[in-house]
Amino acid sequence: MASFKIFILTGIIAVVILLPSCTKDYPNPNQPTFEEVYNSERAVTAIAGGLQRVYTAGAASALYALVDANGFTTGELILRNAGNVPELQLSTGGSAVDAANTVLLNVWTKSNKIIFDADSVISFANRLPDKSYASGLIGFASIFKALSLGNMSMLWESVPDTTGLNVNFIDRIEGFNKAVAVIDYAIAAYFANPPNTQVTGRLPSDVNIINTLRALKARYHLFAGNYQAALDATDSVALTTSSVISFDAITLNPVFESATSTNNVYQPVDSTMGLPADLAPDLSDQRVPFYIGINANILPRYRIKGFYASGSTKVPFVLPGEVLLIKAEALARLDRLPDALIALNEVVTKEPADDIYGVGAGLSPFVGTTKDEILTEIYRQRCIELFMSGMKLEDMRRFGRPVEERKRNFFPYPFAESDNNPNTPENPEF
Amino acid sequence: MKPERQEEFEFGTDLGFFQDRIGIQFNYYIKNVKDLLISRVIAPTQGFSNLLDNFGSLRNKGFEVVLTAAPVRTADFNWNLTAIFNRNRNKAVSIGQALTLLTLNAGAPVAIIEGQPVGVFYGSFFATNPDGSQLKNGSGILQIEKGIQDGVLTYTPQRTNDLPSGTTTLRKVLGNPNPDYTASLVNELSYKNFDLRIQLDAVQGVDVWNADWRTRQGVGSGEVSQMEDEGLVPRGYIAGVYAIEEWRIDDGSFVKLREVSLSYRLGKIRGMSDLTISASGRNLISWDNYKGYDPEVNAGGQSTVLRGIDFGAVPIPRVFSLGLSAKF
Repeated sequence: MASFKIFILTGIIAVVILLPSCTKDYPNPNQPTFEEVYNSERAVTAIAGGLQRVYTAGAASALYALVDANGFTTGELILRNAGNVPELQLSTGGSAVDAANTVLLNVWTKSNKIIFDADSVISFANRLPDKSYASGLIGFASIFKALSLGNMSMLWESVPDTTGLNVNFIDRIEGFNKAVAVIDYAIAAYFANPPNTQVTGRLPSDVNIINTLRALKARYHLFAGNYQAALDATDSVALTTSSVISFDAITLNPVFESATSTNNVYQPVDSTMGLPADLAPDLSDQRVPFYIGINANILPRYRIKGFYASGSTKVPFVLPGEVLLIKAEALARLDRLPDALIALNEVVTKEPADDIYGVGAGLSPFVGTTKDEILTEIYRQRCIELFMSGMKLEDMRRFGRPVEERKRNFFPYPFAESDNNPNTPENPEF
Repeated sequence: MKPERQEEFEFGTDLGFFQDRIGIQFNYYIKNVKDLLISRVIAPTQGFSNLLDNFGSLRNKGFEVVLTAAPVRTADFNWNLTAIFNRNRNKAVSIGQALTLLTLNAGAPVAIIEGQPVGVFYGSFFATNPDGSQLKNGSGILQIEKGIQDGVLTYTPQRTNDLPSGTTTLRKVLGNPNPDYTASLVNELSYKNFDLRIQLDAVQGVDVWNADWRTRQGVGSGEVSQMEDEGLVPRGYIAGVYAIEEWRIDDGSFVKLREVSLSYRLGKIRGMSDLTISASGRNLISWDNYKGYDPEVNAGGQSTVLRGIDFGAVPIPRVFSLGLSAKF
C-alpha cells in the first residue's frame, strides 16, 4: 500500500447561528388574561365559586388531604395499601413523615392557592361600586381563605404571613387570629351592605355565607385561645341553618371518590374511632353507625360512611355539634363549669333526628363535676361528633393528650416551599 | 416569556482512504441553549405550584465519529462496515438559583442544578454505614438517610442509636439520564445473491427512573414482593424502602441487536424482471441489567429535559417481517 493517496480531504467548518426569532407575543385564545378576568364581575364571581372547587374537588384537594393527613396521624384511619407512599409515611408517623409527602404538599399548595385567589377576589370586590354585590364576593371568598389559614395553622407550627415571593412566616396562633380577622372583615362588609340576589344567585346556593363565617369565627377563636371571644361567637350561630359543599356527577365527594369507593387508601380503624379504651364511644352511641359502616362479607369490616358515604354526599362546613362543643369548651376553660356541662350535654343527648345533618349521640347526660372531667369528656365528644373532619390533631394538642396517642405533633414544610423560599422555618423534630 | 434559543458551533471533517475503502467522519460541536423554557416548581406561597418561563441556559458539548470500511470487496463477496460513536456532555449554566425542580412526571424528581447535567434525578437515598454498606435497622430494613442538608449537593448525615436521625430527609443527585455514550455497529455482507445486514446499537452509562418496577413491588406483583412473601427478605422490606427515591434508579445501559435482515435475489423469473425474498427481525435481543421491560423508553416524550423515565411506557416491540418484492 505504498501508493495510497488521500482522495478527499475536506475540512468543513460550519458556524450556525440561529438568528433571533420574531418577538411577537401570541395571546392564548383559550384563556383570558389576568387583566381581562379582573375586569368583569361575572368572571371574578366564577373565581370565587372556583375557590370551593379548589378546596374540595379530587384527591389533590385541601379537604381530602386534610382528612387523610389528620386521620392517619391521630389513629382514626388505617392504611389499605402500603403502595400509597404518603399515606404509608403518615400511618407510620414520626420521622417517616418527610418533606416529600404529597398529601401534606396538597394541603399546603391548595391552601396557598386559595388564599392567593381569595385575596384577588376581595381586592376586586373592594373596588366595586356595587357594595351589595361586593359583600357577597367578600363573604364567600373569606370562608375559604379563613379555612385555608386555619387548616395550615392546625398542621404546621408556623404559617405563611401572606402570599408572594419569599414570604415570611408567623406563629400558627397568629394564623388563627388572622383567620378571625379575615372573617371579621367579611362579616362587617356583609352587614354594611347585605349581598344582593344577583351575587348570591351566581354563587353556590347551598352555602350560607353569614352562618358559616360566624361558626368559623368561633372555631378559630377557640383554637387561638380566645375563649371569651369564642363563646360570644357561638351565640350568633344558627344551629338549624344548613351550609354545605355539594357535589354532583362531575365533581364527586373527594373522600368517596378516592377512598370510600376504591377501598384502596384508608378506612376507619374500627368502632373505637381510634380512641383509647376509656374514651371509646358508648356501644349505643348512634354517631358510630352514622360515621362507620359495617361490611360483614368483605374485609375490612369497618367502612367509611357519614359525610363521605357516596359521590353526592354533601359535606357541611361546621356541624351544630361543633358549635355546641366550642361553647362547652370555652365555658369550661373560663371556669363556668355548670354552663359548660349544659352545653356539653346538649351534644351528648342530641337525637339524630334533631340534628340538621343527622349527627346525634342519643345518650343519657354526662355526669361529671371537675374541670378535668368535663374537658376530657368534651375532647371525647369532639372526637366522636367530628370524626374524620380533620380537626383531631389540633384537639389532641389543645387538650394535652399523651403524645403516644398521636404520630406527629406538627408536620415538616414541603420541599416545594423550602427549596424555593429561603424564609421557610426549620422542620419540627416530631 | 420568549422563545428558547440555540446557538451551535460545529466543526467537522470527512476523510476517505484507499479508494474510499476506509472513511472517517468526525464532528465536534458546542451547542448553547439560552432562555431555557421549562415548567419549574415554585414556592406554593406564590399562589401557584409551577411556573413556565425562561430560566438560565445549558451547554451541550460533544463529538460524533463515523467510521466506514469495506474490508472485503470481491466479485462474489462484499463486506461493508459502519461504526458510529457519539458522546455528548451537557451542563446547566447560570440557572439563577441553586436547585430548580421541574414539574414532576410520574413522581420523578427531575432537577436542574448549576454545573450538573440537565435533568438529573435528585432525591432521597439509602443510609449507609461508614464502611459503605447499606444501613439496616434491627429488623433488617433499609433506611432513608436523614441529617442536615448543608447545600444542594452537600449534607451531613446524623445518627441516633445508629439509625438515621434529624428533621430533614437528605437529598442528593441519584442518577443521570444522559448517557456516557451511544454507539452503533452495522455490518452488511453480500455473497452472490444473498444479502445480510446486522445492526447493533449501544447506549451506555445511563440511569433510568424505573417507576414501573417499583409500583409492581408495591402492588404485590414484582420480584421483590415475591421474595418478601417467601421470606427471602424481611417482612416489611418493601414498605421500608418504598419511599426512598434511590430505589427507583435503575441501570439503563444496553446493547441491542437492533436488526438482522437476510434477503435473496432470485433475479429474472418468468414475467418478473427482479424477484427478491427477504426475512428480517428488529429488536431481537437486548443485553442489559435493567430490571424493567425495556430501558429504551421515555414517559416524558420529546421533552428537552425529562428523560429516562419509565412509567406506563410501552416497550419497543420486537418485529419480524417476511418480504417478497417483485419488479415487472
